[in-house]
Amino acid sequence: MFFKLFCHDADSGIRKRCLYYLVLVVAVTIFCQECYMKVQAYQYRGLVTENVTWMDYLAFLFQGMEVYIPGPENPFVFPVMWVLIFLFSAYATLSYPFDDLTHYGQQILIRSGGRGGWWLSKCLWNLCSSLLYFGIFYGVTLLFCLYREVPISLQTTPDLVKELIQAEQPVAMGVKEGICLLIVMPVLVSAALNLLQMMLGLFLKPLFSFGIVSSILILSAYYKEEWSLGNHTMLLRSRIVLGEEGVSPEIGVVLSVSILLLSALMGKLYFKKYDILSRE
Amino acid sequence: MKRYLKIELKKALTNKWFLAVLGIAVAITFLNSKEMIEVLIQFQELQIRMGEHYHEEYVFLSLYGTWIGVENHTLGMAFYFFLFPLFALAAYGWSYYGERKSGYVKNVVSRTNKNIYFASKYIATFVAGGLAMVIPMIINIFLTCLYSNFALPDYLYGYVAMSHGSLWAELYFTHPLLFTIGYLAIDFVFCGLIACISMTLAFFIRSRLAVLLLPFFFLLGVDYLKRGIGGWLGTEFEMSPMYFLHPTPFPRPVHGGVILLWMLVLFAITFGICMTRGRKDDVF
Repeated sequence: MFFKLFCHDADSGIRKRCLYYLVLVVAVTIFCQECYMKVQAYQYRGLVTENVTWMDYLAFLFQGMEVYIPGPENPFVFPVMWVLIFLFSAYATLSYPFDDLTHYGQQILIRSGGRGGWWLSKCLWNLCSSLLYFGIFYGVTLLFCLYREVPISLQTTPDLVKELIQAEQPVAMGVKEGICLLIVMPVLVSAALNLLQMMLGLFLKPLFSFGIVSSILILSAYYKEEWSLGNHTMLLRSRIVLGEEGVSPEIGVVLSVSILLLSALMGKLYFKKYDILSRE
Repeated sequence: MKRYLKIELKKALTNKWFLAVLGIAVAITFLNSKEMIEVLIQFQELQIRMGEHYHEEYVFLSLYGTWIGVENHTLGMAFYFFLFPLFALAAYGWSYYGERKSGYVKNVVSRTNKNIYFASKYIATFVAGGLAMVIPMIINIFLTCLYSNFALPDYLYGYVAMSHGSLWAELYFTHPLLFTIGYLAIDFVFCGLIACISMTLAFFIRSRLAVLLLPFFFLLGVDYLKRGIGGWLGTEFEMSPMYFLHPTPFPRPVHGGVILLWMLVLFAITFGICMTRGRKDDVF
């Protein structure tokens, strides 16, 4: 039964909503083009001589923002590209569960014989959507690099990354560190935020849960703190750039997994007594 | 027209979404005031520690340098000027979509005419969106009055965040109250127009959340592309509404023409579509 529920979610919640992913493809291409133009400019000015790699593109896309020190002389300017990446992921998973609940899903809920399965299927769908979102994200950057004849390598170019993200020192990172920060953490954090949003949508209206996720992202940009989830996806706040002052990826993993599990569990408990008819 | 407009305005300004949005926005302005009070206390303590005579006439304590529309570095300000499109959209932007879906439009249109219905709906959406932005800012001004003075901003003073050459910069230093009222009017009109984008999208889109959130993503998209857009138009002025609606704009100065152009384009598109599509579309 669970497999059937999930197949329905995959069909209605992913396949029939491919427009979201089409927009994502366009957006990522524009982001990559910006990176490409910057690299060209740096190479033209002789600031860098080495070849750019795929990992350098990812470093640019997930740079986030430098640590913000509040003060009248330093206005807060949010990192719009970083916000767009994570907020669009949240938006892509926002409406389906509640649309399903008020339409066709009610019939499925009755016939499935239990509410737990329905909720867990939605959780799995949410995780898969986040994975697919970033799968497409990385896929598009990969294709863009192939098109621009950029070597597909997991190594970064320290001097180029320094210029790209406006860091003070050349940014040297190992392959493992790079994969963890630029590939694993964005997926994990985004999945945690999306599931949190879905769980909060049970208590509040989906628009308000989206507002809360937006606020979490702005809070993350404002404060450099371990508990502020978004920090774990910003290269400029990581230990790679800030050394010991940076946020720890281990805490990021623990925090994200805890939010994932708690959201799924709390949602399951609440959904058992949830009045689905009032939603209509 | 008058009677139906009155009904629409009553619906717009007393519905629970508008009140909820207003509550959240006001809470954010309270957060801003709390942060500013902490900053001012720190400043006082520093002055006293340094042995300087503290007096409350400091320009630093001026209302015109500390309310949410002027200061540019607190968390409250960051939340408010990031979430404001959502406030404007959620206030009443969903209304036409909801009424169309529930069939309410049919009942109204059969008793009055389409022009009256769509014009009234447009005005009510506009007013609710504008007020959702401006009322919390006015409350913040009153809150700030509780702990600040009315000293004129001094351009020699480093804490004043007004860009050189920005819209009404001179007025800010000579008649700051007029500047504040003028900018509140700009914010009211602009956020009203943002709310009307939702109403316009309801003619084309069949998802309530898309109707409410696409304008927000549009503004974020413009913010991302602003340097490119400014380059094409040959201007270094701020092009993004996410920043130029802040009365002391950053990171770049604001040109009145840019705001006016935005307003005219938004009005022409939203009002044009709402009235023409509204007249033509079959509601039955």
